[in-house]
Amino acid sequence: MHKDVIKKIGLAIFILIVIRILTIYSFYGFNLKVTDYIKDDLHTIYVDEVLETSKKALILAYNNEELYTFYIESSDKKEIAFVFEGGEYAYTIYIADELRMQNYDKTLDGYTNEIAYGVFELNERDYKEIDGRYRAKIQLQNKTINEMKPFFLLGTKDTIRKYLALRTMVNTFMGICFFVILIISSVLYRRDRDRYMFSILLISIVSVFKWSISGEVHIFSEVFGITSHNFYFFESLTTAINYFLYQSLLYTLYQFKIKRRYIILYLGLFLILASQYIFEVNGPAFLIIYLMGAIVMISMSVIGHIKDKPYSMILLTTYSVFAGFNLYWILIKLNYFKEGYLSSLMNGPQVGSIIYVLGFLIAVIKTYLNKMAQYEKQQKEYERVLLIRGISHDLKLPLSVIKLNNQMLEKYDMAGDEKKVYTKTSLEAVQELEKMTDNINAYLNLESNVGGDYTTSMKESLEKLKSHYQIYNQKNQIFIVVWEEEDYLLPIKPLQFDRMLYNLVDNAFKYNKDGGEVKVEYRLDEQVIITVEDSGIGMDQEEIDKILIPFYRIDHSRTKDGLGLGLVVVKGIVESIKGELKVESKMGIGTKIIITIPK
Amino acid sequence: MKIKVLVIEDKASLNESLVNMLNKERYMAFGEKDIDGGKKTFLVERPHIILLDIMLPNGNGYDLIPFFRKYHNSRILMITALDDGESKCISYENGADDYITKPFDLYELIYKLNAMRRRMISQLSEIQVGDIDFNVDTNKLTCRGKTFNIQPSQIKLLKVLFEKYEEKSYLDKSEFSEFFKEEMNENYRMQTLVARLRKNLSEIGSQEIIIETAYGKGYQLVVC
Repeated sequence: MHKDVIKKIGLAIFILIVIRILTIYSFYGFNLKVTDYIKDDLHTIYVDEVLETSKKALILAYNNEELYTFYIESSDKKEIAFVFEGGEYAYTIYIADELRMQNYDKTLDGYTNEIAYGVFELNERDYKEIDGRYRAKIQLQNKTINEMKPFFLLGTKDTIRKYLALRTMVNTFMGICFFVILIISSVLYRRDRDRYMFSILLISIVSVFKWSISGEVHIFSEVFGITSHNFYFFESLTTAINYFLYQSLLYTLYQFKIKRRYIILYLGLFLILASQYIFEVNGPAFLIIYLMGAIVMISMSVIGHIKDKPYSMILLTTYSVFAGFNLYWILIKLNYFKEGYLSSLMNGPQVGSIIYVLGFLIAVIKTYLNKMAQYEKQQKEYERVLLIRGISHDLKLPLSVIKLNNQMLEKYDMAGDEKKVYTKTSLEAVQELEKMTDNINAYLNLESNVGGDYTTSMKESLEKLKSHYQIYNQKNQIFIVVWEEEDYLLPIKPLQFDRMLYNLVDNAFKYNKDGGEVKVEYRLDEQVIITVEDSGIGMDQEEIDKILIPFYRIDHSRTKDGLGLGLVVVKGIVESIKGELKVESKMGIGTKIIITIPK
Repeated sequence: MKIKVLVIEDKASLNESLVNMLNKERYMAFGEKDIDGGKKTFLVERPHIILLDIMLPNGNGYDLIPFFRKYHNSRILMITALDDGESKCISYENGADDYITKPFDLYELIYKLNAMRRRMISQLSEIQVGDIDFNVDTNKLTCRGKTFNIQPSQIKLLKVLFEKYEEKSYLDKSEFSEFFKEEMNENYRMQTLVARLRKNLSEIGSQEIIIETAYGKGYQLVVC
């Protein structure tokens, strides 16, 4: 195997392991720091000792007995509050043999939608004096349907109040995150119909739904009619769907090609196990799905990294975080780790999935942006090709004049005067070629002729222009130049600016009528305004649109003399000094070119 | 008889040069710079050949071809800077006979035109040159009001000589036997055929047509 590949595999596995361990242990460590634990089988809790420590909360987990009884002992009837996690299932809590709380509502004739957790308080009157100490009896009747352990979080009333506020905030924040991802992905999907974005959109829809039914923020779970009766179904369904979507998204994003039958086999297995998990509430089935998925995801991430797929690093890292969170929560459910203040405060897998989806979002958006950049590059390349083709096409005309005239000079015996005619025609064509190459150069060097080092006086340029074209006044066409008293200095090479004006005026004369008028005007407002107006043949809108595209296509109706580059060069020059070029024209009346340059 | 050529090309200098060149090559050339002018001159002069540009100020050259075809069977040679397949395709579909791209070679153009002229002349039955007229179908030779019926082989020789004359060339001895394979036998030789034609020409009173001997090479038609 290649050394490089081994390196990559090593790095990928390193990231996968290290980030996972980091995620798990940082969470675990933090949990330990703020949480005190009571042994599972302890049935009497002396709250005086534990709640005076710096730890925020006390966790009491219990073995799955149908009726669990425990006692709180305190020397001064300490008032405490409980958060009972396990509201996904039907439960009833008795304090001092009195019913205190249950998530079965008779009036609803069903389970309440208080599914995430229940809160109850232990007040002074709940204590009974026994041997000079105070003792409260608490009983939990619970029909837990799987091995997952419900637990209590204990704390002073104040601590629990703060805890609940924090818990709502954290969960609201996570909901907002999912919503934002949903909005971003739906907007982006609407715009480009990208199939990767569609997968992210699906994931975020499922995630938002999954978040809504978690019951952390009541209103949402009420909207969907989630009660402790149907909670588990939706929870496991969304988990399975999202887990599947992650795998398929990674598969399509990395463009893997795997034989169809293997995919069908895997999907079949996944489907069977998922239905077991969803409908039969089968914990082991979920674990198998999870492990299968993990193997698939890890192999895809690592292979993607080896194959240098774009953004494989981001996806690998975010996957590791995601997997770390998931694993931590699974290990809690398997009693390997203990629940704690932090782990009950937020839904870890949801945090993990936010991070992973964000990773996907970044990868997909970046892929998309790359595609756009590439497309733009191609477009530019295409334009360049058109430009070169256009140039070579336009150069042919004067070339054919030169070739024909020279071959005639070579072939036929001519008198001196006749020779001169052909030579002159050739030379004129050569001049035409020169003008064209000048324009081509100007077009290709647009940027290098502007900047702070250059200044062009508007007045000087226009004076020059006026004297240069004065001769046209004798050719039956009127040339007028009007300028403002106040001069303005443009940051551009005078030669470049003159080229722009001459191109415009040349065009104006070329398309002017006999006895027509060409008027150049310079005004100074909030902007510098230059207009070149003729009384010529004019153009329709279609033509106006065409003339500003450099050789947009070798169009058969394009006029010949003038090289399709003239106005494009003008536009380029105007834009190089951040100005704007506008063309107004009416058929038979004339054309007006308006250039505005910001001061 | 001169072949008429209409040049429709909007680039003035190119148009002018082409017309001059054609006149030097003994064509009768007319230059036009746009579609309307081209149509007008076409209807008046009925040119045998049209040199047609594609990009014209107010339309495409190849759109004109059907119009030309409707009125007169001219040969149409496109001359254009467009060398994309599409333009070529459209031109041929519309009925162009040939296509040449700018910058074209003078010699190539002349060869193409001469080939067209040759084909045209070989299809003609009524030919007028100098002070004589002759008809290939009826074998009639006419000069200054007089009409002779002469042998088909003599008319054929006259036409071959005329074609060579149009090409500024002469009839080579070796070519002669090619042209007159059927007529040739032992007692009908080249010299005999030429002598009989010369005799007929002088008898009918032609003063402008002479069949000259190019020594060692062959014969050529000379118009005085």
